Amino acid sequence: MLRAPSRRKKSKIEQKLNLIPILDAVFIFIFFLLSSTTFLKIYEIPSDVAIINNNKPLKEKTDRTPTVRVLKTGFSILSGKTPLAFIKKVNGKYDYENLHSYMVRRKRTTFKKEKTIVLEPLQSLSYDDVVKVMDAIEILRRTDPAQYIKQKFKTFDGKIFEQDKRVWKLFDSVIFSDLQS
Amino acid sequence: MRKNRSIRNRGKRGKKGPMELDITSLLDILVILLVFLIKSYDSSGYIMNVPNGITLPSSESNLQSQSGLVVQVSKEKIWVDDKLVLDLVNFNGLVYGKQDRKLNIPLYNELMRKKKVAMNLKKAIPKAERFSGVVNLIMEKSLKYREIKRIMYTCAEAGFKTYKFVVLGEDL
Repeated sequence: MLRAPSRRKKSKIEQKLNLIPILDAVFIFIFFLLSSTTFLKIYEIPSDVAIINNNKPLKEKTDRTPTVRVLKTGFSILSGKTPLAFIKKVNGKYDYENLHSYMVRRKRTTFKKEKTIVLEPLQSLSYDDVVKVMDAIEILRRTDPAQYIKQKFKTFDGKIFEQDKRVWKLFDSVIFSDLQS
Repeated sequence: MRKNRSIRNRGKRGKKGPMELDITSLLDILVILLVFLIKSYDSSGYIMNVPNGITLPSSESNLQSQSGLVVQVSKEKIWVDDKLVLDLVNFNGLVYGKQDRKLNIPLYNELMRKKKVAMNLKKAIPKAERFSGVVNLIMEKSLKYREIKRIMYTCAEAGFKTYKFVVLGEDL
């Protein structure tokens, strides 16, 4: 026989999630991350030793190796042995910003195909300044105009086509020319 | 009200249930901490020690450091893989060669020893990593270029022909 439904309200027990296991896991994870985290961001700037060979030197017209000389009065930029520009010191300090913007402009024209840049720092230049010069001539910032190179791709049916690829560096490597001297 | 006072609840009256902590705010903090730690986690697993007396220069570079021999250079000391090879204050021997004045002899000897160990290891265990010739240079930022040049020259003479200048990132 059916009964009429009770008017008493059944007490509903609120179901709560058991967060203890997940909290345990999170705590262990935090300790693991804390022990393996490096709070100093350490990066690197690559450079290779200049290779000396016995081949004939390139003719002055064809030699377009970009070279930056750090002098007491400023930066001298050369293409092979041909001087291109001189960037003077401003208020007794090297003008890294001007050097960078000049190199970005030149990369689009004179040094389009060059992958290596030669650096000749002043003997009394500090390592900190050498790194700043390397930054200015090597790295392409996000605020700089985008630069692209043509890259060849091979499709699965053997066809070759070219595609533009954005580059994030002005030059692939910096070489110190005067290590032997 | 009447319900609570009823004789049925006489036993329960006055007894409080277990206190429950509200852990929502704690969980919020933990999640934020977790995100921060994951963001600054270095997955390369490669640790480099920067000894006392060395302040690294800051750079815009964002290339992750790779494994290789580590040469640490302060104004007075030189270490190779954390082993002190030259302390200019307490060193009485010859630092630079008589014929080749750019060659740092204690550094050169240690680098040659390291190279020999790597090559012997490769001979003994074919699966071992090949001698890469990569050297990570951790150098004091106030050193002059003429001093850096001598270090680089010595490394090149010992067969380490790829330099990696270790710098501090600026994106902190």
